[in-house]
Amino acid sequence: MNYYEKLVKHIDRSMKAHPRSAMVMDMRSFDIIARGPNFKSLGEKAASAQAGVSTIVFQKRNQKAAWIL
Amino acid sequence: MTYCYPGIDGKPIIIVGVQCLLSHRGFFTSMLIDTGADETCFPASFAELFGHKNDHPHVEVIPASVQGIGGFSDSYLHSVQVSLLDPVKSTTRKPVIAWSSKIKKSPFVDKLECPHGLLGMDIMNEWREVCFQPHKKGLWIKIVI
Repeated sequence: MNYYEKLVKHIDRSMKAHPRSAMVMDMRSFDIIARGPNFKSLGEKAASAQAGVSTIVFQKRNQKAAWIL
Repeated sequence: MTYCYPGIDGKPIIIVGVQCLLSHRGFFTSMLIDTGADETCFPASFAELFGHKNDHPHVEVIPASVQGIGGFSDSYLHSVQVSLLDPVKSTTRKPVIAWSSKIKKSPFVDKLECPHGLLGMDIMNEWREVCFQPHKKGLWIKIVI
């Protein structure tokens, strides 16, 4: 399993654990370093978390309705 | 070069690097590979992740410039560049960028209410090939540059 596959696995796992949260993950340790109800709420947290750390932001899709994008 | 990525949540969603070309602040995020989107775009709220304000006087507002299920929407043009991760060479110590788009500006759309940006045909046209391969555990995305 390469690094990207591990990253996706950790993202899928975090989205299942926190299906309604937007999250910032440390790409090195796979730790969630910030979490909030939406991306707007993560603005400052994401910025402060980025000093010297590669981060990824993501959120699970709302499953209330089918997506047609 | 050929790059293969497992889709996130079983969808054609890929992790990309997004860098603001003004502040050089960057982060990684998930984007839906959307062949129906003419332009690569992001939800308006993503601007906050760069420390940007959509109502800043230097940000170009383009009224009713995009359309979709919600009708027309205003968008805010930000100088950002999208990059692909090298899925094999990247490590926990260092994400390795495999490729960066020539597109240097993308709209951040008011009415785009989804948790990821849309990677559209403007960027896909820079690739030689993209295909989706169903798999028992979800979906794989193959991109040839």
